[in-house]
Amino acid sequence: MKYFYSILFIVGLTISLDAQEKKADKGAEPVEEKKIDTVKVNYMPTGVRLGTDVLSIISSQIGSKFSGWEVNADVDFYRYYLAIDYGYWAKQLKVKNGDFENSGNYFRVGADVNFLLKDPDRNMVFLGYRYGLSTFDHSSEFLQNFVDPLSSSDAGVRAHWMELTGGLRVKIWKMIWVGYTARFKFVPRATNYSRMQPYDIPGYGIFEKKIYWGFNYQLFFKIPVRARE
Amino acid sequence: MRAVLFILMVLIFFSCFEQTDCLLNNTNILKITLKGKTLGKDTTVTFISIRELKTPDNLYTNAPLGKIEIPLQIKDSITTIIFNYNEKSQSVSDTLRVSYRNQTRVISIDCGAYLYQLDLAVPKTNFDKTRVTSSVLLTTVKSNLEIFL
Repeated sequence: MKYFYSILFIVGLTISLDAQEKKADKGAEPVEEKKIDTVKVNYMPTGVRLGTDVLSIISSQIGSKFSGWEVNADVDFYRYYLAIDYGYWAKQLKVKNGDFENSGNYFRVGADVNFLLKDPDRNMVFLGYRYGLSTFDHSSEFLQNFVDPLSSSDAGVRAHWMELTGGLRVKIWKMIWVGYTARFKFVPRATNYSRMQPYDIPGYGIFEKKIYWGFNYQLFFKIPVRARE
Repeated sequence: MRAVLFILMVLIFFSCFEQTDCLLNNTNILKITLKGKTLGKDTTVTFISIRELKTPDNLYTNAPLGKIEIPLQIKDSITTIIFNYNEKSQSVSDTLRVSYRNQTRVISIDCGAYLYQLDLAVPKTNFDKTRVTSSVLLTTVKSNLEIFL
């Protein structure tokens, strides 16, 4: 059932954005369309946008289960953006018969496509994808069948996954931007573990769930490298 | 349009909170099936005793058995079992050493963490022939190892 919801969301988002594009195209005069076609697209970046995930910072402060941070960067090439994320994620969880801990870093790289082409501030409504990589340690102390005390741990576990992303970037004041990114994460794979199967992968989430959602609310600072035309 | 978006958001919200099923199938019981050496069919042997090397008490005494269940040492990666039985009016003592890898799996926060035994192998034995039929110890598996007598 969760797959149905996930697919429904992606399809809904795609149709909505596609409809906006078509609407914009229909509204334009044929003469203007010709003019746009003849204009050479400039792929030179206008700036580097650096940001951080506000939700990770808040979550780290308000509870003892999670601590982490995430920094984000993107560079524009006309309507295409190269996006890179780097973060730290640690969890201390109480499970029914013991404790679970993990900590590690993750890295995502990918691209976004902006569907708001005519916006003067280059605000974004985007879809994109990411390839995620994570290296982490994990351990657990528990009572096997609620009787025998046992512990397990692995260091240097590696995992990777794919993401489809969608979201917004809005300029709010001079070089300050805010935005959110919804992440549809899938096909997690893990290697380099022996004593313990991964439960929670930093940057991804629950390993057993082959589809997982993520959400970032981000604050950005854009460093301009050239003036916009 | 707003109503559709609201419904989508509600569906997404609840899809994120779907609980993992609490299906536990771990066991440390090694299931052995005895097979006839010549025909390879299920057979029964009367054992004088069967005991695990690190345990003083016998697991079985004077019992005719076709299937044997041995609890493996979950804090070790090797368990040694000693079988005493009569063969052609002579008392025979055979040793079976099995190796395995212990792996913890956190099923979910509500279910807890459990130890599984994987990669079952027979590194040493006096039996003429043994065969691993299932290398993972699970409650759903009928037999992990066959001993041909």
